[in-house]
Amino acid sequence: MNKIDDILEGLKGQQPMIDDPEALTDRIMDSLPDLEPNQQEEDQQEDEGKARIVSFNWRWLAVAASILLIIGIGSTLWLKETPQPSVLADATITKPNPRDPQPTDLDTLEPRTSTPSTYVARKETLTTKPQKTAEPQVEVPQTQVSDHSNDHERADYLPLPTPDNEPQIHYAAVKSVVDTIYKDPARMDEFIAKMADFNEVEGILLDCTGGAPDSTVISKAYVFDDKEELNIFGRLLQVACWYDSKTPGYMLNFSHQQLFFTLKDMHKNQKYLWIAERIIGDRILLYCTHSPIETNVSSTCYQKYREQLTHSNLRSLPF
Amino acid sequence: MTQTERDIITRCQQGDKAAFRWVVQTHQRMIFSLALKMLCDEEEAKDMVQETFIRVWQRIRDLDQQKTIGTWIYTIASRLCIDKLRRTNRIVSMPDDQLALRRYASDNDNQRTLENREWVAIVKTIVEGLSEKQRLVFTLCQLEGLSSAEAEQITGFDAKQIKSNLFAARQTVRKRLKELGYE
Repeated sequence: MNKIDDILEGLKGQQPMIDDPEALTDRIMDSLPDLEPNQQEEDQQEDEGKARIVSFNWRWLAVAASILLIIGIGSTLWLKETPQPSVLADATITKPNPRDPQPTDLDTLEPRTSTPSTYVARKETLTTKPQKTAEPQVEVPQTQVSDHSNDHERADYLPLPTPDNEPQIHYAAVKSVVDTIYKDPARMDEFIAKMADFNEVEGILLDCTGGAPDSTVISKAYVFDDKEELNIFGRLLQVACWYDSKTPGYMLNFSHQQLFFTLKDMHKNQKYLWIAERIIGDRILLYCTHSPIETNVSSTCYQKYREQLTHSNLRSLPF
Repeated sequence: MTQTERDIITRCQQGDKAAFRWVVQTHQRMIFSLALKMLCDEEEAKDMVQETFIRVWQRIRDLDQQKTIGTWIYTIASRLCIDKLRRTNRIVSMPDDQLALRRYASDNDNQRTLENREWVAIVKTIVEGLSEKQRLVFTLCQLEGLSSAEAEQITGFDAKQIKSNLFAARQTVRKRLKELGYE
């Protein structure tokens, strides 16, 4: 059997013998781990472990939920005890009814410290102190302007009205969420006030109610020097162009001599009017007024003041 | 798998060691044969058989009863042998081993039952120079006499891999035997 094929064929299929198969079997059987009980135990332990984890998680979840609940209730109560006047309250309650006395002492309110998360507090303020009906008094427009300037931005994070809060919150406070073209007309007043302040021009409050005193009608006049570097007309025009022509009450007329601009704020039920006019003495008379939309504003005061400016000694005027 | 085997496996899966003893007794020689031809050491082969059945016992619940338990045990043993070969030094035949082959080749009775030490010597001589894969395929197909399909199931190789490894192994063995003076 010297042939390779014979050798390989002879080896094929032969199995070596185990000298003591029973001993090997016993050895194997003895070395087998006791799987079944251990496995069951492991399974049980695993199940118990899972159950412990689950119960542990549930326990911690319950604790966490309780803590959050306590914090929420606590902060709500605390905020209720220490109401923080907010612009929301102001913004939403100032004009619920055009016939009601309107708050005009916005500048006497505390600074805004509210954040979106304090909406509840503001809502509480709203319900507990629904009307900040201050006594009628003349306010400084620039302060009011600044107070109104962010109203629509603040309203962005307000929830949609619910049957609970709808009667108390003015629709304007929530509708601005979907009002993409809304731009607060009061920002025009804010700009004018800042420009006057920068140029050290004092605004003169005018009484344009035409009859009984009405604190809801705010009229103010500024007299700027008609200098090229001030460029009052150009700046006013720039600000006016910031508003969309679809803004309610939008009307813009201007010429070299006069700029006439009106807007309506349907959210706050306000109408605004700005008239800038070149008058003698190289001056520009800027007249700003805003009032509830339904309120009739007389132009007599403006005409009188203009007449006074053009026929009086400039030095005698209080500016 | 016969119904009897299924019943036995089911009992094993339920933790019946007596049933598993039947499995060990039925397949231990087969595994010992493979291990001895792969490892070329009788004691290591016994250890390998023991380790194989411990693994089988531990994973008996994973056994798909649609498969043959013999093939499954072979698979476990093959992998353990390959792992063992990779960890150990290369097996080199000694002159005494070649003498054992010469005695076997000179015997006219090619059906003579070889002793284990003769098996070790002969296999050491003829498989020298084979890679682990070639050695496994050669052992399964040539020495154990399994079909290529069975070798595929055991090793997980495809038919092409089995064929190529077996061809290369045979070529190497022939070359080796020719060097030793065989025709």
